[in-house]
Amino acid sequence: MTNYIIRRILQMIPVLFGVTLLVFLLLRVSGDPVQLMLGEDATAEQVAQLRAAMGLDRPLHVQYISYMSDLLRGDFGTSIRYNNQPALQVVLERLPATAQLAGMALFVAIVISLPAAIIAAYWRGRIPDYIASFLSVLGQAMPSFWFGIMLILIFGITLSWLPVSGQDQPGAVILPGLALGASLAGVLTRLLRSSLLEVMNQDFIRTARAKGLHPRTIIFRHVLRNSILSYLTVIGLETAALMAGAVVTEQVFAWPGIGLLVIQAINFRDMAVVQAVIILSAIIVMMTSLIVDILYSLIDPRIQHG
Amino acid sequence: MSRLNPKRMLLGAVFAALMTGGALAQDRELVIAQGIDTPGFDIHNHSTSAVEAIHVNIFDYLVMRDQAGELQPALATDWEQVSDSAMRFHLREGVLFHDGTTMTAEDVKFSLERPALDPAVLQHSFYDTITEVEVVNDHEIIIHTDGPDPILLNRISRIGSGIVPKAYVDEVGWEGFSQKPIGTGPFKVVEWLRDDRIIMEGFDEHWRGAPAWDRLIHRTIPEASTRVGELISGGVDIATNIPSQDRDRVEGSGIAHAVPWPSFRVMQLFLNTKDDSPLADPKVREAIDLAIDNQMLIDTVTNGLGTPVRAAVTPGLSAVPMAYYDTYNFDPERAVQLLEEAGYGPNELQLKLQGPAGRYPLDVETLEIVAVMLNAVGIQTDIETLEWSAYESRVWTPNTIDGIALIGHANSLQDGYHAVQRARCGFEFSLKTGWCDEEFDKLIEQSAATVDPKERAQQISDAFDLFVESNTVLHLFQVENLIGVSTSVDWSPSPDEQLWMYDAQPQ
Amino acid sequence: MADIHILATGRASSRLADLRLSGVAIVCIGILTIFILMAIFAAFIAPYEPSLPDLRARLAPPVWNEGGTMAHILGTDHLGRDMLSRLVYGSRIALLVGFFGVIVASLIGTAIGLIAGFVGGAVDSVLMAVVNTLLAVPNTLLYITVLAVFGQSLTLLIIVIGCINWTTFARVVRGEVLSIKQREFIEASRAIGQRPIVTMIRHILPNVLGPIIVIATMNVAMLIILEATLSFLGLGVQPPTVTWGRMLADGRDYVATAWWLAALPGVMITLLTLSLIFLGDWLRDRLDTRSDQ
Repeated sequence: MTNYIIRRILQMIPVLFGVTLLVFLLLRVSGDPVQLMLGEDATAEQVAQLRAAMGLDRPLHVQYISYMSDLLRGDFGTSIRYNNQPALQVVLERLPATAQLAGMALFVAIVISLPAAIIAAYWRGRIPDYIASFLSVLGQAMPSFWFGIMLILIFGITLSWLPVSGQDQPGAVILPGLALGASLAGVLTRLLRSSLLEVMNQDFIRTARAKGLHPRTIIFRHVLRNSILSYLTVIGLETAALMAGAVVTEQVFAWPGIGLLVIQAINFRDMAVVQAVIILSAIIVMMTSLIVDILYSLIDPRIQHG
Repeated sequence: MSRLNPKRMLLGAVFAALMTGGALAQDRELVIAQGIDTPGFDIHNHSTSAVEAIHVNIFDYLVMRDQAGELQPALATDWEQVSDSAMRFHLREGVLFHDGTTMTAEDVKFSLERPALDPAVLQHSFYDTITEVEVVNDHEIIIHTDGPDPILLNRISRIGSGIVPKAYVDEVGWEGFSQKPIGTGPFKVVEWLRDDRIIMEGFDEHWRGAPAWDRLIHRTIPEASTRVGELISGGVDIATNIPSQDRDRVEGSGIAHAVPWPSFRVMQLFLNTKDDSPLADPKVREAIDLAIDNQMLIDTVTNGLGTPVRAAVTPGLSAVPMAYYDTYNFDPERAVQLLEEAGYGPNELQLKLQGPAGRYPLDVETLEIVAVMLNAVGIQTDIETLEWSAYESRVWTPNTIDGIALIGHANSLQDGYHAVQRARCGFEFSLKTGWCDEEFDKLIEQSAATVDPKERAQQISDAFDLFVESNTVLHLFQVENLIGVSTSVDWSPSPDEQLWMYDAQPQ
Repeated sequence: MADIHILATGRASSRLADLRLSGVAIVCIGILTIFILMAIFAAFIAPYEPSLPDLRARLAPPVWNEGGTMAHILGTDHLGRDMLSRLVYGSRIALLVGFFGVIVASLIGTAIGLIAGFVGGAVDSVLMAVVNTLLAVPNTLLYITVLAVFGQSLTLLIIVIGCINWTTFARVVRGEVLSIKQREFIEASRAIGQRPIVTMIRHILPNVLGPIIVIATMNVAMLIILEATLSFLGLGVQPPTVTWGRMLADGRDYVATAWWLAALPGVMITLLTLSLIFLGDWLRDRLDTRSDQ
C-alpha cells in the first residue's frame, strides 16, 4: 500500500510538469498584459518600456526556465492585476469562499440525489422513476448561468426570500449553492439509480428476496450499502472539479471565490494567478483521486493495487 | 438604510446566529456596486476611470472638479502662474490624514513627483511635463514644468493626483500602501476583500467636515443583471452600468431611479489606410461615414441613450469644437455613388470589421448594426470580435488592424488637446490608421506650448478639422450610461464618471 | 465529464426488452431528426434573414403574447431580429459544434488510444501522462484560457473541443486494446502471416464502437451546453453567426423584461440536450457496453 501511494505521488510529477508547460505556453503565446495595464491612453514607448521591465521581451524558453526555478522554490510570482501581491496568497485567500460554495452545492446534490435515486429505483419503470429521471437530466441540460439568473429573479427579487448576491449576508450561499448543485444532483441521481438497479439484479439480493425480506429492508440494508461506493467516488471526483469549475456561478452571484478570480485573471492576462489556480486545482484533482482510490481499496479489499 | 428588506431579514434570522457583526445597527450606510474591483490603492499604477471613481473618496487632489466640471480649490486653496513654466500653490492648513498626521508640502512633493519622475509607474505619461515640485515652506509649493503647460491643472485633478502621506509610504512601501491606504479624503478604508467589497468608514476629521455616512461599502458585482437585481431589491444604493432595457424596470421598482450618465467616452471606428487597403482611397472612407446612420445606431443598440458625434467632443471638455457634437453625416445614396467612383460595384468591396466583446456596453451589437448598414450600401463585412485583452493587444501592435476596428476613447484630461494629440504622425492613432499630416502635427505642437486659451483653442479646433476631414477615424456616438440611484439617497452623478460620495445625502 | 456519464448510466443496468426506454428513444430520435432537418433546410424554413434587424420591431413579443404579430411568430430580439429565423439557423451551429467537435475528439482519441495500447512501453507512458495532464486541469478553465488567448471562430472552437475532449475516447480504446492484445487470435493471426496491427484494428474497432458511440452522444450534449457557457463568458462563436448559446447569453439581461429572448433558445438547448442524454442512456443499455474503469 505504501509503495502504491509513493508510486502514485511520483506519477504526479510529470503530470504537474505538463500542466505548468501547457499553461505557460497558452498564456505566453498571445495576449500581453502590458497594454491592458496601461489602458487605451498609453503610448507605444511606454508599452515597450514596461514590457522590458517585466521581462516579457526575453525569449520564451528563458522565461519558462526562470518561471520554473521560481516555482520550485515555492514562488508563484506576483499578481499584476493586484499590484504585485504574491499570486499564491491571492489564490489561497479565495479558497474558503469557494470551499463554502462547493460544500453547499454538494449538500444540495446529496439531499436531492439520494432520495430521488432510491425512489426511482424502488418504483422502477413507474411514474416516480420517470419524474426523477426527467428532472435529473433536466438538471444537467440547463446551462448553469441561466438557472442562476432565474433563481435570482424568483427568490431574490420577486419573492425577496434570499440575498441576490455576495457572500456576507445570512443565507447568501443558498442560491449559488442550488445553481451549482443542480447539475451535480442530476449526475448523482442517474449514477445511484443505475448502480442500485445493478445491485438489485445480483444473486445475493435475489436470495434475500426469496427469503421474504421486506423490500424496504433490502433496499436500505443491502442494496444501498453495496452501491454507495461508486456514489462516493463520483462525489469525491466532482468535488475537486467544483473547486475550480464554479466560474460561471461565481460570476453570476458575485461570489468572491476562485472561479471569479480566475476568469478575471484570464481577462487581465494575470498570468501568475491563472497559473497558480490551474496548478493548485490540478493538485487538488490528483490528490482527491488518490484519496478516493485508497479509500476504495480500504473499503473493498477485493481491489488490488499491483 | 435601504438594504434591509423585511421579508429577507425574516428568513435571514434563521442564519443570524452564524453571522458576525450583523449590520443591523442604525448606521447610515451607503452601498455602491460596480462591475470591477480596484487593483489596490497604488494610485499611480492603474489607468481605469471606474477604479478612480472609488479612490476619489479616499484621496484628495490639490484641485478638484465640481459637479459642473469647474476646477475648485481642494487641498490647494489658491494658485497662480509664477512664470511660463512654474505655478505656485498655497496648501490648505490643518488637513489631517486618516492616521491623524498633518499633511505638509513634503507629502505633496512626494505624491506628485512619483508619477512625474518615475517612468515605471503607469500614470507617468500624464505627468511627464512636471520636472520638479519645489517646497517653498510647509504650506506652499511650486510645480515646475519643462515648458509652458496649459493643462497643468487638468493633469493634477485626475487619476494619480491624490496626496498620500510620505512617512507612511516610506514605512510600509507602495505594496503595503496598496493594501492599506491612507489619504485625506472623506472616507477611510477599513477592510478590502478582493472581488467582493471595500469597507470604508466616514472620516470625522475630514477638512470639509464629516461625511453624511458612517459607512461606505463598495461592492464588486460583475453581472449587470445581478447589479440590477440588487438595486431593485434594496441590496445596494447605487449601481453603475444599468443596461438600458432595464430602465423601466428600475423606475418601476419604486425604490430606485435609473439616471442617464453621459460620459466623455466616444465610440470610434479606426480605418487602416495603409498599403493597398481599399480604405486608402478617401472616397471609400467617406462612403463608410455616409453609410452609417448614427442616430439609428443609437436608437437600436442603446435604446436612444447617447449622442451622435463627428469627433471626440462632449460637453464638459475644454478646448473642443462643439460643432462636431450632436451631428452626423448620413447619405446612403451618395455612399453608393462614391463607392462606384472608387471602382466598387455592389458587394464587390469586402472589409473586416473588428471589435472587442464585452469591453463597452453592447459593443458586439454595435458592430452587428454597423455591418448591416454597410451592407445596405453594398459593402460586405466579416465581423471578428475578440475578448478584450486579446483584442487590445492586437489593436496596440502597430499595423495589425486590418480593415476597420472599434474602440472607445475617454478623455481623462478633459481637454481637446488630448482628444487629437494621439493622431500625430507616429503616435497611437496614426500607428493604427497610417494617417500622417504635417500641418496637423504642427498645429498640435503649437497648441501644446500656447498659453493664451483662445489662441490655443483655435489651434486645436483647426487640428480637429483636419482630423475629421481625413475620415481615418469615424466617430459614432458619445456613450451615455445609466446609473441606478436609490430613492433613499440624494445624489446626482457628474460626467467625469467619478462616484464622489461626499455629496450624497440620506433622504 | 464523459467519465462521469459512463458511471452515471451504470453498467448493464437493463436489458433490451426495456420498452420504456425504447419509447423514450423514439421520441428522442424524432426530436433529433427535426433539429437536423431544421439545420439542413434552414434557408427554406426561416422566414427572415437571421441577422437582419427590423429596427421598427425591436423586442416584439411572440404571437400568443399581448402585442405579438404574425409578422414575427416567435417575436424579435433586442435588435429587432426574427427569433424564429434565429432559432432555426442556430440549430446549425449547435449541431455543428456538437457533432464535429465529437468527431474530431473521437478520431484523435481513438488514434492515440490505439497507439498507446498497441505500442505500449515508453510511448504508452508518455501518452497516458498527457491524458492525465488534461484530466487534471479543470476543462472549463482550459476552454476559457485557450479561446481567450487564440480568439474565437467556429473552426477553432471545434478544433479546441477535439483537442481537449479526446481523453475519454483514448482511455476506452486503450483499455480495449490491452484486454484484447493477449488473446489467442492475435497470436494466431501472426502465425498465419497477418500483421498483428491489422488484425487488432479489425477486431478492436467493432468492440470499441459501442462505448465510443455512447460517450459521443453524451459528449454532444455537454458540448452544446459548453457553447452556451462560453458565449456567456464572451468567448462564443463570432457574430453574425447565430448560435443558441449566444442568444441565451445575450438574452440573460432581458430575462425580466423580454422573457422570450432567453427562454426560447433555452428551451431549444434543453430539448436537444435532453434527447441526446436519453438517447445515450438507451444506446448504453442496448449496446450493453462496459465502462473503461
